[in-house]
Amino acid sequence: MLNIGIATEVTTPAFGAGLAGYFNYRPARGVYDDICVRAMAVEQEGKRTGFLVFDFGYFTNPLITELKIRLRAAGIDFAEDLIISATHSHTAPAIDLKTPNESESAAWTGMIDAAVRAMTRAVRSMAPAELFYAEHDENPCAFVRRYFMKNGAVVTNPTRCNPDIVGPETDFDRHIRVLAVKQAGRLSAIMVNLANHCDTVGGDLVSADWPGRMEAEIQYALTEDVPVFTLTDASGNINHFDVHQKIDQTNYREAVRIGRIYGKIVTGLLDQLEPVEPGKLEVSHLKVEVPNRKITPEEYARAKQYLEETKNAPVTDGDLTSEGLANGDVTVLRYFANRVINCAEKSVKSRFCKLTRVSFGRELAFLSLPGEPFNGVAQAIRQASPYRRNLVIELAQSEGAYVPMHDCFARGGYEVQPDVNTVAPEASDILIEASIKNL
Amino acid sequence: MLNIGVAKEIITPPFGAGLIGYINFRPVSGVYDDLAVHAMAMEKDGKYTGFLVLDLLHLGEFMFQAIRMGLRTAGIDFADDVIISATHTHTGHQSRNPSNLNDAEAYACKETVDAAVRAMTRAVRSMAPAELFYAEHDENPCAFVRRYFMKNGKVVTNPTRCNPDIVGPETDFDRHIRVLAVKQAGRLSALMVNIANHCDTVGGTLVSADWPGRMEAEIQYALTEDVPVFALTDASGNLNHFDVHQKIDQTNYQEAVRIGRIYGKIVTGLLDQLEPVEPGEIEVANTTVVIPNRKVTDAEYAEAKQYLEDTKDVPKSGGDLTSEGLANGDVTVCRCFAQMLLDCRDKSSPSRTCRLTRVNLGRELAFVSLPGEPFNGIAEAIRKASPYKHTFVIELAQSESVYVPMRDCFARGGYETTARPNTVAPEASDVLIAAAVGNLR
Repeated sequence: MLNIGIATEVTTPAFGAGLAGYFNYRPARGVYDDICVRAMAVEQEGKRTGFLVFDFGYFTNPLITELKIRLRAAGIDFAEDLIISATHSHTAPAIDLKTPNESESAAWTGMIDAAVRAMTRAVRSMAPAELFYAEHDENPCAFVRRYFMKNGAVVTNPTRCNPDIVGPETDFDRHIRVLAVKQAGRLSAIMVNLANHCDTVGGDLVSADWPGRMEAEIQYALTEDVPVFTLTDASGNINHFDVHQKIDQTNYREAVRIGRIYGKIVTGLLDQLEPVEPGKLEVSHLKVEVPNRKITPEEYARAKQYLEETKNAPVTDGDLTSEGLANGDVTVLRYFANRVINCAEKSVKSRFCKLTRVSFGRELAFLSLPGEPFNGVAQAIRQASPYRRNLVIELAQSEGAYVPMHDCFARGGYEVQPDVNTVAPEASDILIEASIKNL
Repeated sequence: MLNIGVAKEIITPPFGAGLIGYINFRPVSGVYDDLAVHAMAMEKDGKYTGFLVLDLLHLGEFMFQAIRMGLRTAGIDFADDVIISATHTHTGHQSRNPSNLNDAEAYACKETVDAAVRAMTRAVRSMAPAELFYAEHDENPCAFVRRYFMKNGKVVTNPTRCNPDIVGPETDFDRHIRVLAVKQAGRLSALMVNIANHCDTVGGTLVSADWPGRMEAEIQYALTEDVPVFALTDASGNLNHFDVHQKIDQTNYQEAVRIGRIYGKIVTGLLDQLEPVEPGEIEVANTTVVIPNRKVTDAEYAEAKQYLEDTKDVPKSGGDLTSEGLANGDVTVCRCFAQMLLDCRDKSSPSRTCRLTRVNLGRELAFVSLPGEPFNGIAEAIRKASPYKHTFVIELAQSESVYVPMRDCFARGGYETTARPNTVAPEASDVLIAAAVGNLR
């Protein structure tokens, strides 16, 4: 028999905590919607696993280590067998600031405390459960964000309606996969696995972005607080920008719009759920060494030269994002030139990442990936998977960075820009190979 | 300048914790919607106050004390000037009797206290300049006086639906829905809704915040933002949502959704009618009142003993045991009340000392706390005497207490006036009104 327990806790930071995701510092000065951590504890014949999904931008390894220590201290002896992931909200607190202020420190510890509380309550609330699955084959709010331009290069998030756009660099897996948990005949949790970058809101008001609004839409439709676990599929080269729409697409209303569309798709799928017969629960971990980027002497010299030539350029106001790279914003370009230098001077050779598979017989598998792999990484894993249904979860288990496909490095774009401990071109091949080995 | 901070934390109990509000034990077996504690911290010219509203039936004295102690330990040195209240949901966890908690309930109570402290701490950390706005609606379409004169001259609480012996409600009540809106940097950041209705719509063993939770969900969905909604329950001891003219099941979660949606639409409708409130100086006045407890006569005692003897072999009823069983003559329920009458005489203390708090911002706005479940007439009397332009009355606040019926109601009968341990004496309402009015100035 399968037993499942579920709980949600609030992780909204206090005002003054810096929000993560952009190049500029953005202390929180308000809240659009609360950010949360959702916990699911799963048990079958004495074997336990679980999921912790945070409305956060990303993880750091020290945070994951601390979280597991605290979980074990709270009696969660299967802490190592949990899949811990982030939704990638860019309006959640930064957790890697060198000199955190009081609100930022409180957000860091508060996030860990909340996760421990949530998982503890989930374990205490375990009850017999059944699983159901459905999927939708279209993702109307996600777009490949890297475009071939007429000059042959690839640009990430080119200006809207740019006449030099030739077309997207690739296609992606548009499926929206839904796993529903029912207990005593009632829907008690929903897991949604879809690919999209969670950076819709901007500014300095806290928000869970579209995953939060998707949950709000689903909960309003169901009239119950059914927790919705957003398991972000590999989305490193995907976001919500439609380059054919010359309108502002970075604002909270856009997150509401996207959340409502996804919410309606998910609630529509609830009529099409099919039972999943949970086979034997297995958890498998594998450690993979992901090589880091090497900077050539020419790249290093070019970056130094650019910084010298632009040292008197005025600093741009507003949020500094990857769009600035496409637009040639000097402040953003200087930021990236500095990253090249940091990459050369501060990067280590490689990064060890934890890959986790949680499977139920051959019916269902959850597969973790570190950082933000391009969608092609997930496609390759699914293609090789012996499991009937595969939920691939990015930003999970280990600190990571963008993992572009090998070919993308020669083409350019934001995701392949060097920074401290960004990955080498062969990283995607290594990650795919290791993940398949762990299947 | 007025500064305000708001925060919300989840206090949903784990499975196995008993839900409180009925006579029978109801261990949690699931969740309709999460319970929460809403915190607001308020400061003006160095004077602090605040509000903690918990989705619970009520708070036992140990919970009030634990929260205040937790707040002080966390550096909230204005803990004694915070109004702590419950919404009265009957699908929240046991939080009254510390000596009788199972493991899940003890865990839930501790987590609730911690959550209240966390919420207030975050609210304090998030304080920012704020403006206040007010609007009110003069109709409450989902609340009804629940005590009815019957053809035999007696009053019955929650008589059976469409009962032909119903003559009419015992009284009227204040139907206003009062809304205080907080705006910060031009954005709506919190709503306080002061409304009279009993929060017992759901029943069963699934956790729910009842209609206040669904009201918040409705408002948040309409606003597309998680604006916290503080449900400040007005004096509702003699009110509930039962419409005796509708012969349908009115105890289920869908009814809570329906009521929450109606209230939510009223509140969002009021947002176009908000008028600025010029906040004067923050003042907090705390006082205590000694409320006399009920005395059981020899005749009442003997009658209860006899009833227990006469019905000792009657089989027990199944399902939720509520006050409706008293009106319906359910023997299991009537036996419970007979036993409680004996306990009233054997175990009651002579009186209960309760804290009353008034928070006011100049003469524009006041919040007045009341312990337990006072009848609505008590709030009406306080408002009539209030020198403040807008007076929010909050029941189930600051001290553990019980129903406080109007003096005349005791002779008429009904559930709220039944004798139980430490239930109040007939003069309690007069004592409470006098003390609350005295604390207005």
